[in-house]
Amino acid sequence: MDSPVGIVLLVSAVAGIVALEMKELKTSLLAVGAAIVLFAIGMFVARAAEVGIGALVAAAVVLPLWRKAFARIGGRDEVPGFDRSGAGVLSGVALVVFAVVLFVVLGRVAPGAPLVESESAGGQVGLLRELLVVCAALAAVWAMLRKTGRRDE
Amino acid sequence: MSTLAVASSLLILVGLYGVVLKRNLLKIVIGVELLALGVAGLVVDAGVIEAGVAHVSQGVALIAVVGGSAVVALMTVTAVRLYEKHKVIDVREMRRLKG
Repeated sequence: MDSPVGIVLLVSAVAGIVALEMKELKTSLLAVGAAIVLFAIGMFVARAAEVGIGALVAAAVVLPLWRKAFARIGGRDEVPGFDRSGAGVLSGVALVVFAVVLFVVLGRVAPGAPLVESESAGGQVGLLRELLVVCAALAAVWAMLRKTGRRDE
Repeated sequence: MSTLAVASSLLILVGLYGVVLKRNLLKIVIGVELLALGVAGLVVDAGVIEAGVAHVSQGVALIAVVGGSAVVALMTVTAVRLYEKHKVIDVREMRRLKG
C-alpha cells in the first residue's frame, strides 16, 4: 500500500515545483491544482478518506480564489525568481541544511527503526542540543530586532 | 522510513522553498498550501496501522489541510487587496507595510 501512495505524493511534489517555477500564472494554477488533487488521490489510496475529502473540498475553495486573484494581478509573474543577494543565498543554504536534518531525523524516528535512548540533559550531546536551541532563539530575536529597526528607513 | 513519509517531507520542502525563496506573494501563498499538505501527509504516515489509518491521525491531518486552506484563502485575499492598493506583488518592495 505504501509505495503507490508515496509515488502519487512524489508526483504531487513535482507538480508543486512546477507551480512555483512557472512564469505563466495559468500554468501555475493548473500545476497546483494537480498537486492538490494528486494529494487527495494519495490519501484515498492510503485509506485516509477523511483527509482526501478534506483536500478536495479545500481545492474547491482555494482554486477558484486563486483563479480570480491571478486574473486580477495579470497573466504573468514578472517578479524575479531568486534573490541573489547574500540573504537569498543564506536562505537557500539554510533550506538545504534543513532538508538534510529532516531526512536524518525521519530515518531515526520512522516506525521500525531501532529505539535509541535519548541523551539525558547535561550530557555532551544534550549540552550541544541545548546550545543549538539557544542559538536558534537568539537568531530569531536578532532577526525580529533587525526588522523592527528598519521602520525608520 | 516509508515512502509516504519521504514524499510528504518533499512536499514540505517544496512548500518551504516557495515560502523562503520566492518573492511573488502569490507564489508564497502556494508554498504555504503545499506545506500544509506535506504536514498532513506526515501526520497520516504517523497514524498508519494494519487496518488503514488511525482516526485520530486522520482528524489531525484534516485539520492541517482545512486550516491551511483557510490561512491560504485569507493570504490570497490580502495579497490581491495589497496589489490593488499599492500595485506591488513583490515582497521586497512592500516597504510601506513596515512599522
